[in-house]
Amino acid sequence: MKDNLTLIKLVKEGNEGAWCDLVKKYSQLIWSVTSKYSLFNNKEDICQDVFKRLLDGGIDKYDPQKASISTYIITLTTWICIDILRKNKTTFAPVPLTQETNIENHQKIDIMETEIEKLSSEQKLIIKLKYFHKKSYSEIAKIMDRDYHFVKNTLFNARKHLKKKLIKKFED
Amino acid sequence: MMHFSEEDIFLYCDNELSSEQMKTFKTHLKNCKFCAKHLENIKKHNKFIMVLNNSHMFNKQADCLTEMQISSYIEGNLSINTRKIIEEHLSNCKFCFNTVVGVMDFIKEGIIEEIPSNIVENLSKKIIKKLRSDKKNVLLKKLAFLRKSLPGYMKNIFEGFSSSIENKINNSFIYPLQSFSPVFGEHDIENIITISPFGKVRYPVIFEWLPYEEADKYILFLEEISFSRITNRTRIELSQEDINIDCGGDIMWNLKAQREEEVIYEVSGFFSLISDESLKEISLIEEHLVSVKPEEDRLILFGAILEEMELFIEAIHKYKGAYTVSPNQCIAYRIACCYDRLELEDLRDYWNQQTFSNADD
Repeated sequence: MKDNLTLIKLVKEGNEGAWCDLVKKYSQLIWSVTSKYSLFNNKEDICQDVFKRLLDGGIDKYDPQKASISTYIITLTTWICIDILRKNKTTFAPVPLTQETNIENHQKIDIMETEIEKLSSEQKLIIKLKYFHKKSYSEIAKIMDRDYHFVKNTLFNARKHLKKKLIKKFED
Repeated sequence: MMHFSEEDIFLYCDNELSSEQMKTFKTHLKNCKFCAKHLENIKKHNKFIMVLNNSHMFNKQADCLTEMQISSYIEGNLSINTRKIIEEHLSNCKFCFNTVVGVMDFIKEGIIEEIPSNIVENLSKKIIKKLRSDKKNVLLKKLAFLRKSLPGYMKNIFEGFSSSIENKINNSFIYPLQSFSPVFGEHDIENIITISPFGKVRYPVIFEWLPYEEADKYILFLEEISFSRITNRTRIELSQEDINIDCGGDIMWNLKAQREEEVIYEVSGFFSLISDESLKEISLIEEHLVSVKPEEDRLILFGAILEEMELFIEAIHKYKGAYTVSPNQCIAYRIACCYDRLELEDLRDYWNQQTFSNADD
């Protein structure tokens, strides 16, 4: 098989052999991503959908200088899978609701939601990665391409800020 | 008594303390009500945040990130400013956010599952079918545009054969392709002495062949006009000044390959010149084809038009030009069709074989 850059160049030109090589090389990746989202009944359809989107302009939008083709294809597949789950109204990474139902706790949750939305985008992202996806500091650092201490300090500052707001609102 | 800082308590909740520090912390908690209470409060705050994950469904926004933006972000190939803009979106869009996390998780987990080979094969076939169908549609659009761009009288003439040209395109850019039943079996192109011209041609008349082993000269002879030329090359180009022939009638040519005075190979064929009217039509069409891009498409369309007008040798040249740009089984099929019309079965069989081979061989 050709090296990736040559392969992509030929695929963009519509070379049939290159497209067949692309299918052989990456269809397994797509297949595996669909299993991750437990979409066992849709695997072949999703594989077709991914290649169809690549054919219908997706490959023209792909820039080999900015990302590897495997990341691009995994992203496209993940997107499609999440979209299917969204249309099926499947909640993503569900967390059990608290048992407390009193008004004060509901108010605290509302305040937390409002104050989180006011955080900087970096703080918000780190909060969400930590709390909703239970990522470690190292994992968050990798996702956001920052160092460990940045994540640690940003998270601490965000929490401190949220706690202060919560206490202030209840004192008011 | 020394107490743990709030930061340390957060690190403990997040499992980010070293095992040594964890031990110390747990021991301290047993004896310190202040830190135990502080830990309880922090855990409560954490719960309020975690509950928010259920507070809204992840809706796709109109300005959601593209796959390329997400891929570039994941691979860290963005400027600081672009990264900030993307993180601004990610912090507000659960859909894109979950896509990023999903991709990173998949890459980290690295769990690859075997895909059945019949599914890979089906996918490949569907893609080839789609590629050919798209190419066919592009060519038909360009053909229609060409037809519209021609002057009035030429439009009517073109109308007469454009549906036949459309059929050629429709029958070539499909999957699977038809094929010819081979007459001579497998061929190696080097063993075929390719000679032209055959059938209808226009000036300059090109005589072309592969070199014959041991030959030191070739003699071309056109009996009807008593023209002959000796050469040690494998191509002779004759303009109207060289041979002034009436159009329409068949002209027989004879080519001898000689070693010194001994004839070691001899072959004959026929060609005829197209009428002046047809010549004008082709020239006009050729002028309008100049605007067709890319070159590959121009060559395919011109080849199909020449084929329709029975200038098969010239059509083959155009198709081969397109094939050089982009080796393609559909173009190979058209070349095979032209050789079939010229009754050159060995060449037809060779190009018919290319319709089965990989396009990049």
